Amino acid sequence: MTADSVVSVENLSVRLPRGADRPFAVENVTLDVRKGEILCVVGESGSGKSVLSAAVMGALPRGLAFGGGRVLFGGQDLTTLKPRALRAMRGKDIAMVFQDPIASLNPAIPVGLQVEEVFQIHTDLKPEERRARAMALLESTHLPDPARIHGAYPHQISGGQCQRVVIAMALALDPKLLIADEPTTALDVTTQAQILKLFNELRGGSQHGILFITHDFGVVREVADRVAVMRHGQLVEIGPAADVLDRPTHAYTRTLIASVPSLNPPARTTDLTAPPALKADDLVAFYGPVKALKDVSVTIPKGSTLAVVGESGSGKSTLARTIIRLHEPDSGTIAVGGVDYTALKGRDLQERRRLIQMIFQNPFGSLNPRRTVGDVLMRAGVLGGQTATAARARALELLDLVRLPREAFDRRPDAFSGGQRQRISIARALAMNPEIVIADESVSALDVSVQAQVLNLLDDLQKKTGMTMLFITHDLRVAAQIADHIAVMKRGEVVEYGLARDVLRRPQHPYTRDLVAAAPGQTREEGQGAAAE
Amino acid sequence: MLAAVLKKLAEVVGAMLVVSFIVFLVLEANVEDVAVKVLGAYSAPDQRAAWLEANGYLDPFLVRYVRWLWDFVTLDWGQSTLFRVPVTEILPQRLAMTGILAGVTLVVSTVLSLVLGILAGMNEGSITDRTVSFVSVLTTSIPEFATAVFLSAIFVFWLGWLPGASTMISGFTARELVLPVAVLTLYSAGYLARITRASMVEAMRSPYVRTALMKGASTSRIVLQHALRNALIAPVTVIMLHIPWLLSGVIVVEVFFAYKGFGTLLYEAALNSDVFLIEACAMVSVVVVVATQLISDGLYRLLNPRLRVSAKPAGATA
Repeated sequence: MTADSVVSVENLSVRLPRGADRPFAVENVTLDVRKGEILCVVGESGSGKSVLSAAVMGALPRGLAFGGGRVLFGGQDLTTLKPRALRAMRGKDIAMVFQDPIASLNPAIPVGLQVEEVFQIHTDLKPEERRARAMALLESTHLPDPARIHGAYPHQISGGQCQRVVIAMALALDPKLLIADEPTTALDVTTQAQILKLFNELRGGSQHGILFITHDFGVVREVADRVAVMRHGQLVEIGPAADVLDRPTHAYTRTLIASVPSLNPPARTTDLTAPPALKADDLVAFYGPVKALKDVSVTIPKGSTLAVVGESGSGKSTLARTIIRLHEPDSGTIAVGGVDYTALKGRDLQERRRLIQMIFQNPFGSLNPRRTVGDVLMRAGVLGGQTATAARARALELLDLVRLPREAFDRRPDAFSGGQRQRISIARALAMNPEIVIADESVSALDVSVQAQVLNLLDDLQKKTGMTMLFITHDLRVAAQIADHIAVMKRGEVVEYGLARDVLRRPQHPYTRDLVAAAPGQTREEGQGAAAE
Repeated sequence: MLAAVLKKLAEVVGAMLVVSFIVFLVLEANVEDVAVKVLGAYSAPDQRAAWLEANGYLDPFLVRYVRWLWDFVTLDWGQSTLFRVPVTEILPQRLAMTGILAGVTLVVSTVLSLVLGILAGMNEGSITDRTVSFVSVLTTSIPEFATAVFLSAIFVFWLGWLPGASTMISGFTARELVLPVAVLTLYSAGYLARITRASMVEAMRSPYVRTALMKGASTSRIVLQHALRNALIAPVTVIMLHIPWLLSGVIVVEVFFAYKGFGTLLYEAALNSDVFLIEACAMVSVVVVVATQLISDGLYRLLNPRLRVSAKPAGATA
């Protein structure tokens, strides 16, 4: 424990319940957070980073138990502290910022009162003083019109504003340690950039130490002074940000960093002169009174990939749903392989719909847990018009194609990890022999290393099968890796549309420029761009 | 805001009109039938014809409906053929008796089940939780008539502590109310306790409760200020659904304990084809159902700010 460290974790282990895939969630981890710095703990899902943050808060999730080591904070060991003493510390000396800002605030209480509650719990301030302090805090996190925000309920303000409120709440009593667990993961990229900026402000000057948990190396580049990399509950590597990010010593860190998609698009060889597989003209669609699509026109040449990029509420998913007519357009035309898709009805529509298949975001929710993988794939094949025997042979081929072992045929989805499930979803989409595949945020739920594999797989499959792809994503970096063309959407409109290279390198529309600038991880990235190729 | 209230009121009035029409259609479409029921099976055909003529039953159906509806609104509910008195004389007093029974049951079962549900939900998986869950499944699974027999066997015949009939002939006594209330409470409290428990568990697992915990809030503050308010939304709906259920659900219990309430009245009216009394009972039930729905909507909005129609949303998207 050095003189300026705020908290130091010494040989900390956290035991998982019996029957888990490993004995420890966190195993023998030693690190410390120092005054005025941001220590980023990075890792993929299941690496134990969130358990570590909970352990530092002295609040282990149900079923987990301390298995040795200490967490020293102000001379006390948090792992052995009584609940009453811990409670007195929480919110005052140690504060926390969470992943989902809207859900983290009580929906039934105005946000200002939730900030004031911290004073109510830990101080004897009078109501007027509490209100004044809360107001000042809201202002210090750059919330517009603090008086109005103070009286607003969480659902009445945006996610970014909610996160500022949560941060204001955390800073209320000037805690020595601030723990932020994926604080920007649930936010749009431009909002994320603003919140990261706020974190950077917090570091300078004040005496906080910040423990920042994230899975995103882009975010790490933006804020970290030091970086700790975790894997399977163990600390793989720790050191100053520049060292870990640019001269990683451990092989796992290198793989992780190489998997981070960059904004530099790799060279692509797709033939863009092919006739269009999908052509949508002047699509207009409403969601209730909201015009979700305003005259959207896109064309995808056969065998190429169009990435539609936008933040939440931009209409990108509505576009996908409208194209396969899960949502009916109010006007405009969709031509699939020259056939007017909007005019199809009943049986014809069902027939043609098979030519467009969709891969969804959540690999856990989109596969029926009661059916074996083989069953799922064969069913899709039979629906696509094959005989059972042919479908079976095709299902096995598909497993090879998405690089899953053939033994997967007889297993159920719960035997597979997220990345493997997404491969199964891809195989299922391909079982219908579609001409067009729509991938709606299909890699957003995956860890970066898995994400890179799935992106490579999709690219490979496109080369082999000549399928056309519509790729919906909020992440410009992912779009850069897979797209021939990029369409940027904002509030139901396509604001920029062109070759991926042009859109990323010479964005014309101010909004695209904002998006490109907001994509995290560019500050020190030069010379790294080709890593993901 | 005003538009929303007006819309709600229009819905309510519409629903009531539809039900009143159905009631009228079922009971008075066949005028011969009405005459037979009012004058008795041994009345002569010309007697019936004269009665129909005198009471305007030869007018077209819709005219009769509108007139009937108007009479209903102006509290002219006709004569009960069974009791030989105006319906308005007998119904309110019976309704009040059921009101007492239902009210006491509602209070007892709500308090009991909320307390049990909250205690169980606060600490998911604890002994309290498992006991409450088990007992509530058990009591909800046994129908009222079975519980009534069972409780009577113990408290009336074996221990002899309580009276077996609740006729209240010699005035109102709390002693006679105990068994009917106990039977109804056992049946309804289990369900409500389970709903409360489930919402409480959900609230205790929510991110905002974790936020409160990380603020250093005490357990009582977390439960009372953060979890409870949000956890009460579902139970309030169930409680409100209980009121109409109590009105009709009490029939079995009222008949079993010979309690002179709305349930027994409806039961007797139906047994004796007392047309006007049945009509009045049906319409009163509709009013009660609709009124409780309105109240429950209001409470819902009070508990859940997201449902309030706000004049000005506080924040634009950043």
